[in-house]
Amino acid sequence: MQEVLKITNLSKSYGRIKAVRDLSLTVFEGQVLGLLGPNGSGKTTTLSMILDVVKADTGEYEWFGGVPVTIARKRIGTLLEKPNFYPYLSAMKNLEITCRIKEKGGNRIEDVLKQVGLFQRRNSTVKGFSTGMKQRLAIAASLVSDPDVLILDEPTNGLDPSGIADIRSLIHDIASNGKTIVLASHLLDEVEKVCTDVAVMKNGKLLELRKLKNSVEEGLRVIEIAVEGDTDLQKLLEKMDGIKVVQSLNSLWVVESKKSPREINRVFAEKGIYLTHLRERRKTLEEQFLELTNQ
Amino acid sequence: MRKLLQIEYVKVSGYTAFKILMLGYFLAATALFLSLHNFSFGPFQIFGQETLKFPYVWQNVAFIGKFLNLGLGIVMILLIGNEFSFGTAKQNLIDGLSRTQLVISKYLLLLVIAFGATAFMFFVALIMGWANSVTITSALIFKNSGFMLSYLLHAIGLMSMAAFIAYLFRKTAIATMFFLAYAVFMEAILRMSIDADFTRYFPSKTLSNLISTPYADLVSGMDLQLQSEAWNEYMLIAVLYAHLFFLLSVRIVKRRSL
Repeated sequence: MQEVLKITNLSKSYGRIKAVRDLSLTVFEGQVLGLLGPNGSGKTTTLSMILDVVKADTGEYEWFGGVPVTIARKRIGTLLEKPNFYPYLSAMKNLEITCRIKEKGGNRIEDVLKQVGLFQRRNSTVKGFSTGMKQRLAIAASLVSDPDVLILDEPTNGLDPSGIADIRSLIHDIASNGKTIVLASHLLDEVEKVCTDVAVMKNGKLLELRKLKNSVEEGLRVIEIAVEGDTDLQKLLEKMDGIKVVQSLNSLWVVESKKSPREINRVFAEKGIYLTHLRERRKTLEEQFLELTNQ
Repeated sequence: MRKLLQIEYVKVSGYTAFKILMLGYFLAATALFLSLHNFSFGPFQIFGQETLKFPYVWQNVAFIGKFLNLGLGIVMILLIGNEFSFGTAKQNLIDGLSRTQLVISKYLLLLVIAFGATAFMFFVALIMGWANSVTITSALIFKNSGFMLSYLLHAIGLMSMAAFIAYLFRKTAIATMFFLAYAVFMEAILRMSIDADFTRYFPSKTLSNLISTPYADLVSGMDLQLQSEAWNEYMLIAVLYAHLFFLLSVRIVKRRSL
């Protein structure tokens, strides 16, 4: 696979705050990379730096094997932070400006407006658009030049549930066509459904970069346990070998265990405790993310 | 260059505030020039029929026009300030314009506006001169029409200064206030406090010196005579200043995060 983006030791500080620290990662062609991290983890700063919107303090990045960033940007469709448009111009005119900058004809403008559900409002000025409509238009703008790479920073921000579903399905379609995507999002469910790889950031540092498929399948199973009555389950769980409590929600306990559910059930039964709920499931991305970022 | 101008055209062609401001500029200029016949200052009628004849009319129109150029400077500040407040400067960059192209596109628009305003002034002067002159010969008509070049350089210089201030402050309101304050009195105070000959080459003074006050001697009670020649040393300095403001604007945009 060809390298699309190579970031080497990128750092950025705002005064005393280190927004990004020594970040290195590589994005390959066809990869759908989910960039995860809590607010202020440095995701947007990183994306801003690789697009030359924000100047990096140190480090470097390389697009498409060394193409100058001005040329590279024309091959990248980007939605960064919030939609930026000329409010007094129509949706069509705003996309026309994008096409002219990217030196592409405007023949895809109507198609992308249909894709994001704004075709009926194509001649309306953007100042009359709701937040969700602006977000849809920003997604249209990122797609209008049929880019080789898509960078989407919180693409479902401000969208209603049906809008979120529409955009998720759109991203899924684009990803399945082999397009390279970098998706920064808080919605882990969204990332889990679409991405092939995840990079987790916290306090400007890259905590982890791995294949998403592996992270779900690499024996990272969790078991949900519940008992009736006022049994002090936490005490019991803490005393048991090879069990780690991940989360508790009311009477439901989520544990990480090397033991099988059958073994766990036997251990409790030997103590005269009968479980009302015992279920093994895969560890969700959300659980993995919380675990990593709460360290 | 053509691509950048086309992009700027799409931006301003749908911008009602820009169209109103430009229309206002041309209407205000027309109204002002139409009222020049009766403009008086104390006992002196400064712009009488005599002063609107060829070749005097060129300097008069250019002189009035240079004050109106403050309005064009504000238009430039508005257009550049909008790019920052709408976040579209950042978006244009993300979409593929270079930082230098961001600035060039605005300076190209500035040149188009300056040439448009000069063409307007040229026709106004021509019509007024035609209407008020008794003797009309081609030599007389175009004598001292070089003041139109002075007007063009003044418009370019002042709008370049405004554009630089807009890139420096990014906020339309702050940039407008600073621009007006600097052009109207800040530099004048600075020059007075320094009190040296070289201060006549300061930006605002240089631009002002491009078109000297017409008929200062008439106001002093002397006979009407052509005050000054259009061609002067300030023309070159004004071009250098416009270029300097452009380079500084590029430097600011290149060095700062958007």
